Amino acid sequence: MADSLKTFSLLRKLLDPLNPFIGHIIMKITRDDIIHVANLARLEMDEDSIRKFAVQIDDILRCVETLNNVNTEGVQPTSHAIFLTNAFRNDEEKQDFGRDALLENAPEKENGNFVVPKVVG
Amino acid sequence: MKLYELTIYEAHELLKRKEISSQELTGSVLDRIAAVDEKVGAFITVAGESAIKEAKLADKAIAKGDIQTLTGIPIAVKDLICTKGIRTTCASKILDNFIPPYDATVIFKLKKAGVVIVGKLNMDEFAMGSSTENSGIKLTHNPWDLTRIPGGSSGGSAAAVAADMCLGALGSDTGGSIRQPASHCGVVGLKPTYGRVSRFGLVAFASSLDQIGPLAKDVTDCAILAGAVSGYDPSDSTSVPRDVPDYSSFLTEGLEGVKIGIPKEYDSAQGLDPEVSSAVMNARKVMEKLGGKCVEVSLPNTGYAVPAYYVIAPSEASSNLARFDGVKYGFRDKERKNLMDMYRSTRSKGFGSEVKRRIIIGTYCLSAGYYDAYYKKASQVRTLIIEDFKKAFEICDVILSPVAPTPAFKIGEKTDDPLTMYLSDIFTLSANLAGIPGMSVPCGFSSGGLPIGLQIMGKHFSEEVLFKTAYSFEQATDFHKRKPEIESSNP
Repeated sequence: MADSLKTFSLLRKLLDPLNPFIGHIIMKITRDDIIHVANLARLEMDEDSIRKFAVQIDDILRCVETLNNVNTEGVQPTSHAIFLTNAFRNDEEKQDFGRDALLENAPEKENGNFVVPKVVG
Repeated sequence: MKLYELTIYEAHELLKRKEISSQELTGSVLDRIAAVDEKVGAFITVAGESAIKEAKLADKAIAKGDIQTLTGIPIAVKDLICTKGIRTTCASKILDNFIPPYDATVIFKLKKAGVVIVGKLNMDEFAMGSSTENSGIKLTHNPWDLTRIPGGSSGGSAAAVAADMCLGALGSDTGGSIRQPASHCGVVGLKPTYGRVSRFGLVAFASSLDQIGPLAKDVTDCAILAGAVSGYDPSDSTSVPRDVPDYSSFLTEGLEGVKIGIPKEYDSAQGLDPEVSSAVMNARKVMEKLGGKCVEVSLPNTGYAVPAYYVIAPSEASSNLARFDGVKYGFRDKERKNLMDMYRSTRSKGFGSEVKRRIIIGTYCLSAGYYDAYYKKASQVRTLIIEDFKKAFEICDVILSPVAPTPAFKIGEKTDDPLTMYLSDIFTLSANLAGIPGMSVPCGFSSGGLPIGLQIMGKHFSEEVLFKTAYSFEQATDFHKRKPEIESSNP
């Protein structure tokens, strides 16, 4: 841990905006990466945010890359910390909230359905 | 003493003896909110009308002799836990008109226990943050110093408890979001074992890390609330079918036979404030005097908790937050006439920048070609972090550490620097990655009068050991008795 904390601390110093060496760090995350990923996530972004995010996310991913210092050969990945296998329930009919209650929050609805903008022209 | 200053168990005694009514108690709390929340900003919604109705019902039940520990007790809830008929915003513009058609399981349980819900509390938008500055609705100020952050993401919950605007609160903790604000506001907070408390009705941030837990004025109240919300729920497939012990019965003094682990790596943690370090050191000495035995343990991979977390949590978030698309609930940009444009515009206008930042990090980490390098790698490191704790808990019962490296910082101090903000989660993230319970208890004050919290972590499902340890420590100290003076603070 001490080592990785030192790495962060060094990283912070390097990335300090007042540090004259900042310009020497090669950006890994580009403007185009941000635009591409934002599009996958259905987000629009103005030029300012794209530029800001590119720097910040690059910064964060550099920190993430310290994970490469860890030898994980043969280590099983964990997706849940508490080991549980399938959670089954009896196949019984249950009362739900009801259609009207669930449609109550819909921005637009009609005849018991959600309404969305036209999908096919 | 004012009624709003009471703890849950004190109020319960008075209600039981019919010396006060729930309507008086609830009225006192609502008056307190009206008097100080303009300065603190803990509440997004005050549910005054329904609270008074619930208090009347509680009084009727009490008159019939039907009283449980929480009957008629005013509690407030973080605004990402669904409350039927009460707006639940997640402090996001995208949900600012969302009124849930159902109660979360924890709310169902609290209502069954007779609780009065006084309102919904501010937080970082979708629980993403450590200062509550990422709220899309309002700022929350630390009751101990209104120029400082209350911590986050359950900042509203911690501030409301500290400022006596409720007798206890619920928060949620994905990377420290109960413990860190509890520490910054001088209250007690518990993140239970993953699977101990149902997540049904909790708006998901990172499903494998999220847990709901209580924030309270002291350890006894925390144990009462934890007992009330814990337990198996078939509606949450990650809920663990396991009996819940009576936590209150473990609140006994003395730590004979308790082995206290001190992780050797924490001493070298950069950026650890000397006042925090000495408060934790002092707590360790108090526990030794109480009979606890300190042993050195090693958690060699803890330094990798931050990078692992900031892959896993945003990845899960990017997937969970895909549901906010302007179709089923919440905000929709009605100007856009094409479906794809509507999705993009709704999400872009609805989400704040920290949420967008994490969606983008998560989407990037999960995208084609990067999955193995980021998500898989982080999940493997998570396994190693879990193994570190397993080894440590072979030789100790609890682990002590700071909660946050510094006391509460100034509002605006770190908003432009997300990575520095992330690094301040260093002591709390591991418990979420490992699924173990963690608690924050007040253990000192800085020279500037800001509260400092002590973290106590334990094995899976060992909450009772945490309560015993925390209670013994609390009874031997008086940090929990100090109250902030809000009127005299400068806004």
